[in-house]
Amino acid sequence: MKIFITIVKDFFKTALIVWLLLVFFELVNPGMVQRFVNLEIYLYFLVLVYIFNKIIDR
Amino acid sequence: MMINKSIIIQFFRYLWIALGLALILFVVSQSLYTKRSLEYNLNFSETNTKDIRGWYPEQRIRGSSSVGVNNTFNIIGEPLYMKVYTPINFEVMDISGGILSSKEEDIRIGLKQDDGSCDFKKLEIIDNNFNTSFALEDAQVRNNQLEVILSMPSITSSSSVRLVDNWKIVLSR
Repeated sequence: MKIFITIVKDFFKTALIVWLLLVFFELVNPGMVQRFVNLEIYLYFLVLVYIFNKIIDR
Repeated sequence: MMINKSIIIQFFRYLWIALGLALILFVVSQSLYTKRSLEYNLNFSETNTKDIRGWYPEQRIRGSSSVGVNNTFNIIGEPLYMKVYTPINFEVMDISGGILSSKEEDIRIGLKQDDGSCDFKKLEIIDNNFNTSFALEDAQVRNNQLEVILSMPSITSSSSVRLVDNWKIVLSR
């Protein structure tokens, strides 16, 4: 179980950093990221992963 | 056992990083454009693609019969709008394609300008085809998109104007 928790944590951290980078790219060059990735849905997904992470980490 | 755990954790850690990097590299590579021109072959049956959005509102256009190998789309209202993605700043936009109309209609294509106005051009349709071009110096580029407007001020309920699904937009510099 500890392995799984660590894997989910790593996933969340990486996904969060990628999201922040994509938001930065989108701000610098509007439309560049949103053509391929819906950043809003990505954010909701991150929130769900975060909640899931908190639940399994108890 | 401890080594195995560590290997599994490391494997997934690098996997997530690789996937993240791949996504970022893909997005960045798609936004880099080095060629002198960019050509879009429009497909009116798909109103929302990653490069083209339109024609919209969708209620004003309806798919109908086919002419030769191309489908045609009936215009039942105007104006129609289209957004064209432009990854970099181009200087000229050429639009060409086919239009079928039952009588001689006043059909115009416009390009939204920086000051909010529209640079309209009346289409000269020869053999059911037209070709027009716009200078993009003062064109409005919002979210890296140009806005094209198709207007037919004299259209009535008895008019029959059909767009042939063979339109091409060429952006060049």
